[in-house]
Amino acid sequence: MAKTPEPKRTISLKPCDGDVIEVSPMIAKQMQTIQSFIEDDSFIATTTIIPLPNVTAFQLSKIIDYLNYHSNSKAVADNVKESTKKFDEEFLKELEHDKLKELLHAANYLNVKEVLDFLCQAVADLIQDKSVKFVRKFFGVVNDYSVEEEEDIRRTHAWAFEGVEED
Amino acid sequence: MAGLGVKNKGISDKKKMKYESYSTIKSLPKELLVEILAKVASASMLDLCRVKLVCKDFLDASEDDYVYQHASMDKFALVPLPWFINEKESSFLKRCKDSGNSEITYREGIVEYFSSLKIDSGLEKLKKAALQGHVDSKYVYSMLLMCSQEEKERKVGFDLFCSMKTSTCVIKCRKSVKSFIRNMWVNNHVVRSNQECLCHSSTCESRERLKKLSRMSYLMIEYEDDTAFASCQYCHVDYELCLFCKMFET
Repeated sequence: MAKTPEPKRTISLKPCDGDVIEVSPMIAKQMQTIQSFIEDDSFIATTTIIPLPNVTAFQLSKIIDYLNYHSNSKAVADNVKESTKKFDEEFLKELEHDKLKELLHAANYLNVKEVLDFLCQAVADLIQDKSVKFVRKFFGVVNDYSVEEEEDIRRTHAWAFEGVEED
Repeated sequence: MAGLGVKNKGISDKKKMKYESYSTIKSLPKELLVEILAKVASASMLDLCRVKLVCKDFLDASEDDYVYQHASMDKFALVPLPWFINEKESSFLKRCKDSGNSEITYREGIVEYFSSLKIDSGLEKLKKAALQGHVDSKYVYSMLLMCSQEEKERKVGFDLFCSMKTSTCVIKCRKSVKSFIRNMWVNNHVVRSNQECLCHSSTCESRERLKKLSRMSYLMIEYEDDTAFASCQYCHVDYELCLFCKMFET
């Protein structure tokens, strides 16, 4: 803590539906998309506002929350890991399915590896043990197989479905 | 059956839905879908086969090497017995193996290292799987490194062990490794070449506790949570090493 603080320098991000949000360079750096902005020669941190037409204020603040929490609690003792787990759970609890998917898109657009990884895992956990129907509904996709094609896949993987009741 | 209901719908209806579906799923890039499916696959083989039935895009993404690399082997015996596997299963397994599936690499590594005494090749495989992010491999590989005579290797092992995320994850690894070892004919028993504790602090409380514990190694308790040694990273590792070596005591 005794270090002399660097001159205050934040990066200004403008989500599509809200006011400018200031983030520390440390956080901004983890967003690859922003990072490439910053590396651009014409970028002046104090005046430039980076517009994010594909990201809402809600999504941006969620991502920043996540990064903030995780960069503060990196490494160290086990009890911190426990509370990290709690934080992650709470983080997801607040997100409905649609919001989760949108956040995934936003994280993908900003290219934040840590958040992407976390959200992909969350989605994977969500579709675990679920029916094909549920997964289609969740992703908003429609069965585009012919009856024969679908049967064929079932047959090829019959060993995996053995003893499983389909709904 | 899950999906067949769709075909009863009017064609125009279906087309419309298809169009809508493009807007949601097409905007999710394939790499992201592959990443998600790999995570699904790593937890359950059944779920991987199930998502193949969702739609063609999903089938396409699920055929990516990356997914096979991470596929769980939960449906298959730890040590494969070829005569129990049918043709379609074995082609699936072959596909996994060709993609460098980390669970297969790990299992082969364990068998080679501990049972068939191909120690170098086994260790190499464990290392490879560990680098791919396979957690049980990370556990075993870091433990083996820490049992080494070379101080440099012990340091690498220590760092690798510390990078494993949560303590519950370590307990899970230990349990699954233990049950694997129990299911095997062990010919190579692990012995710590360096009996010295990693923790050198004379004031460390957990060190004293550990000393007492290890003196009665047959009583060595496995705590359900490792908070007993949370205060000292070194003692935590010492404790874990004791438990690991104990797996090989007869």
